[in-house]
Amino acid sequence: MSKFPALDGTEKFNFALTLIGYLQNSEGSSSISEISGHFRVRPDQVREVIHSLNVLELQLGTGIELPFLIDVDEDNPDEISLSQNLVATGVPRLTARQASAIAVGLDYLAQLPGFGSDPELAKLRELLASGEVIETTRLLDVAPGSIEASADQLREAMLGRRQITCEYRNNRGELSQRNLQPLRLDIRPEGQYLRAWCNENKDIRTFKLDRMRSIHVSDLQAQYSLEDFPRLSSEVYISQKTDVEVEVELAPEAYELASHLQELPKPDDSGWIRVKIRLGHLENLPRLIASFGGKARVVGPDVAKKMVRDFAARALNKPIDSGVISE
Amino acid sequence: MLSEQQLDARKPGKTERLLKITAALLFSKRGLSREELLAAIPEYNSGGRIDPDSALRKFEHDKSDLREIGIKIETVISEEIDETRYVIAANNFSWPKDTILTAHQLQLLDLAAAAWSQASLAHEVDLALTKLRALGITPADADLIGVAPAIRTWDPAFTPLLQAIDEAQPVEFEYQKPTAEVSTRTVEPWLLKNIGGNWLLVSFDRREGQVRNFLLKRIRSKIRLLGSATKPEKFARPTKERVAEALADLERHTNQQNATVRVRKDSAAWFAWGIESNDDWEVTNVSYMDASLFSQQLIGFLPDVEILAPESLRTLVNQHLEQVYNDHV
Repeated sequence: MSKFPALDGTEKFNFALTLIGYLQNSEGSSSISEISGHFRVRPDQVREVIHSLNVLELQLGTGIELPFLIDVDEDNPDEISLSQNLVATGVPRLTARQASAIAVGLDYLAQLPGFGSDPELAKLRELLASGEVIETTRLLDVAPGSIEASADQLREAMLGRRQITCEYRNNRGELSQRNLQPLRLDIRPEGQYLRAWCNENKDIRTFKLDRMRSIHVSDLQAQYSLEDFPRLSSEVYISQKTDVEVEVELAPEAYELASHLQELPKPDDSGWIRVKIRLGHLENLPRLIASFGGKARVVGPDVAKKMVRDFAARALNKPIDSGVISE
Repeated sequence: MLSEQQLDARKPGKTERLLKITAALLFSKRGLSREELLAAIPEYNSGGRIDPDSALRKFEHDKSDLREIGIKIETVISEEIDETRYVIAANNFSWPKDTILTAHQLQLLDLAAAAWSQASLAHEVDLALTKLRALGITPADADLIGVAPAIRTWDPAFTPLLQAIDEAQPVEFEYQKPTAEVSTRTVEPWLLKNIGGNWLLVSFDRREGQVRNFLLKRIRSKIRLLGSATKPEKFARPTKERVAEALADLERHTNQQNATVRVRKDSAAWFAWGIESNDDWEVTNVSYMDASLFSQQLIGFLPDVEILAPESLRTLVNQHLEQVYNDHV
């Protein structure tokens, strides 16, 4: 089994044209295994694309032309060389959308500590911004946001494989001193998170950078790094067995609460959807729901509904009803 | 998500046909006339007979698929000899000469592309990465940096708006401002900008006659393209300067909207705004882009923040809370 996913039709076409450009640039021979590794395409699909290119016939005027010919070495079927290319155009360019998306990704990287001063990154950004690569203006943009200053220290700790200590305020308002082994920084426009091995909990935990302070890179060597956890999920929230489940209704403004779902359920006529969400602690719920200002509401259980109502009542200085809730 | 056209491109034989069209047009430096093109692509002819109308329809379909992938076929009409030719301009097709990327640059591009891996652009960014790899040297297979940027696009309006921007097509949609009824907007979309996780459409509003920004999460309808499918309406793209000016205006607007708040020591807000003080409560100023979004952030910080000014923000917070209360009675 190969580690690369199969190509669909569009990807195959894209790869075929790219391969011609690549072989043309590399002036001569290459190997299927090398191409497979470089482009992350399964070897059998590399062969399939080579075959498609070799059997391509153009009926132009009275003659038939074979635009491409990629020779496969008889003695060593891994070796290939481009022996005919009547089109000779090089590697295809990016579309405006592709260039914009990649450029935004690079801009984003450039804001991160340690990347901003990378001269090769600067050259790439220049290349993608140049009129030769994209003739229209940018289609996308991501605001710089404020990358936490602590990101710098955390990255330094990761590169030096050091443990860190810090003060952390969890989402229940509890302050604690932590000893962590940083694994990865997850940077998103909506917030920055550290995935780290927590020495106290003996498990991987997620920490929001804007809730950390007094970070110190310690002299202690980290025992773990990212390579020890190849499947480290990119989801910020890792569900636990002790999670509570709450049924909610969400307007489009609050769809992000359902971001854990692969696919959203069909919304009703006014755009509301009904989904189940999981939380580590029910006491986090009122603040979460209330912060959508009426664009998210709890359907059940009743105890959760009451907590949200009480939170709003307290904030509005309304009396809190003491109704008994049956669970 | 894939468009119907992309799904269509997955049918067997389509890859080969698109390759044939591209190769034929690139091979003939002057391009191909309509007749030459139809003769060169036998797949357009059903059962050996040429039906020019149906063949041309198939070609138009392929042409738009190719444009999606980044190959632009131009139509050159010569009125003198009444001839239509199709051309792919070579300088439109490939990279500047001698573009070579280092292994480190490919790694950076991988990382930049990975930012989109969970967004609706993932497939397209993959296609781009394949092309970029052809210009570079295989990087060492290691995650050298431990940094994972991620950009999310959960607004259904994102993909259709990006397409409309790309094609310079004006659009229409229903929009709901937090304090107003739903209204229909007709705009020329310019740019999608992500601010603090929220996608914002920067556009020219035709009815207002001015630049207007719209939060994607407040769009209440499908995005409707103006004009018909065969004759889409187009607008003149804004210059880079006009877009830059619109973005500068937005920033000015954000800087002008200021709130004065009192914050409890060591609360989430205290951490988030990076307050440093020995007092139990501290007064600070915070600027914001959108009053409604900011009031929601403030609610998330309750009861550890108190809004001192402006009064309108306090009213908004109370309105939101009343709504939440009534929803849960």
